[in-house]
Amino acid sequence: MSVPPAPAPLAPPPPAGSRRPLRRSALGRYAGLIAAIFLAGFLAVFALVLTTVSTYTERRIVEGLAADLAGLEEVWRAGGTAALTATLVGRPAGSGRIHLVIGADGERLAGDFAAWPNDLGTSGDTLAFTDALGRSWSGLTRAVAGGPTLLAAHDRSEHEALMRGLVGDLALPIVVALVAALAAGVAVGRWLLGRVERVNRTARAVEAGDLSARVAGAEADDEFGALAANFNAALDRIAALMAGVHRLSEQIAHETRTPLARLRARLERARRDCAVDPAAAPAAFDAAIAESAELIAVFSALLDIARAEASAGDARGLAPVDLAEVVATVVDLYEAVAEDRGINFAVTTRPAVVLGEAMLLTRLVANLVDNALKFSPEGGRVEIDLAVAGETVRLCVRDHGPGMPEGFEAIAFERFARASEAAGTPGHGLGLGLVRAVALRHGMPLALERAEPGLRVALTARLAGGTSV
Amino acid sequence: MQVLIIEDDAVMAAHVADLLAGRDAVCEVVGDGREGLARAAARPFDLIVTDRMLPGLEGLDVVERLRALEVETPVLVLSALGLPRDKVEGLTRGADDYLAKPFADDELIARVAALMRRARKEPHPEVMVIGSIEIRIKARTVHRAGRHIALSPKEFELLRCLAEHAGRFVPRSLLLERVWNLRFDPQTNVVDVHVSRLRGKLDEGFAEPAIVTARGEGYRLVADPR
Repeated sequence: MSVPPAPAPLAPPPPAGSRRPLRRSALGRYAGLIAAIFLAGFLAVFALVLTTVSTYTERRIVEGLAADLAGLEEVWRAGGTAALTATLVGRPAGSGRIHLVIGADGERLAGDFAAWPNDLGTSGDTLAFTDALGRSWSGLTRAVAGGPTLLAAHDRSEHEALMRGLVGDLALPIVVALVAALAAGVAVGRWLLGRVERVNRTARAVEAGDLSARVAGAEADDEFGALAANFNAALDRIAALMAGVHRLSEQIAHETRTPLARLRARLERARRDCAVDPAAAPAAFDAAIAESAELIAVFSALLDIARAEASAGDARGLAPVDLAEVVATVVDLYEAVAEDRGINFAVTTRPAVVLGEAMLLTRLVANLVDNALKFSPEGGRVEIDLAVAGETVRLCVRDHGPGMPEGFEAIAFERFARASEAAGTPGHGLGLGLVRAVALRHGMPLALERAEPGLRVALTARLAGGTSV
Repeated sequence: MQVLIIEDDAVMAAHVADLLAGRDAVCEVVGDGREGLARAAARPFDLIVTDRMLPGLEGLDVVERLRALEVETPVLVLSALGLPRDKVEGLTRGADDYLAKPFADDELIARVAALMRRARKEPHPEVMVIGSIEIRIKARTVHRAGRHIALSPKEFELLRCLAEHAGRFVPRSLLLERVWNLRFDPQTNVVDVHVSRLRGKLDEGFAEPAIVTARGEGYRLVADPR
């Protein structure tokens, strides 16, 4: 019976750590790359030196040969073949130069060669050849008009020794430089990766659950310091958001318990009442429905706040909105309420087009006005002031109510924050929370100011397009 | 009235079908977006009520494809995605109206009624007569039992909106939307104050109230005998 092979155990994921095979690590690749660049550079210089030297010496040899042949031609013109032969014979042996003179029919007239080398033309040609002893020569020919053809050759061994010596002299420095480049590459790479590894280590710690881990060396005034600082700033932001979410979920759990308890109580009472008197049912259910509507309103407000906060800084969905029109709409909506309570609106506006979401900005202004009305004494005054100075738009809503209790500034814009003095006024404490979220979404600074008496909320914005309308 | 309800939550689907049945609608319920699209394209309905987050195909995708197929059946989107931006997206992608869950039953009925009236393409009458109340749209004048009643522009718009739904419940949110073009509920019931002013002017000197508050969430313009 064949047993199917057991599935291979899953390989543990490669550690995201610092020890990897050299060729897969960025360190290995950088060191190799640096060494390769150095090597290529050195080889280029090396080749350049060799060609330059070689070309120069070769030219010197050919020039020497040409001068020699010109001299021999002079000798022939002056004294003929006999003088030429005498000159050549008179040359000291071992001068590193050999000659051959042939006549018009190709017969050898004088010289150190037995025969004319093959593949050699008869005038102005240069050639390299090797003699029977294995020595190599550079040769040059010259045909004398009406006379013999001359060949002179120069021993190349000196030249070749020079080139060999040059190669030998340059090889060592190249090897040394190459090793130094490799070492430098590894050292610099190790240092760089060490800095990067600090960030990686912190990221792993955060991933493992330690949200308080931070990258060391953030104070260094270089790119790695900036990387560490940015990374830490992102972690700080996440930690703050996490704390906010945590606080919010606790608040929601806490704040919704009350309306839920009341809803339940209403329903329980509806059941009791209906058992006694079926005619009481509609009123009892209406009360329960109204209670659930209240709860839904709280949740919608929370969702709106969350949505506005989440889209903070997002330029999509922003369009030119005239704040003066927004104020006009809100005033139109609230004027009747204000009049009923004997409250005067003092409105000063001028056109101020800003970039925003019209509906959200309307809500913001509506909430501010709502709040101001709520806390205004009967017969009071609510001032709405929209002013433009240069590029800056300032929208102020001020009431003449009791103002903020001491220390309320810090929490005024928190969700569910309500001053204890406001316990008697309706509201779920989310109005200013939404105001803050909408201001945040538009990047418009918001300030709470004591107006003595009363409270002034100021929203600062920038004109769209930078021009006044 | 033939209504197609595309809703995957059986309780919600049954509830909506129940509500519409009270308005003489014959409802067909499907729980899948693709199937909803197929049915809506296969035969004409008077109204489609669709959820958004559906198995198979998103509700707004259904609407968009229907519109691409030149099916112009009125569509009411009924969704838990109820932020202003979601509503705007729904309306721009071809829905005729958008109601967020949870909703008040009366509001659903009122919105369906408004959709149906719009679909019938009744020409806007120049004169609307509701009981003893006579509204001249172009002249923007209102008379009750022959007596002229001076209204502010917003009060006139309020009355006109109530008159269009005469005898039926009109939720506050619908009034805010039509009269002030606002898609959110202000904290204070500002609409109440405007309506009570309108009511004060309409009812002055008359025994029968013309506007009644319905269930604390809206209003109804009632036709009284002349």
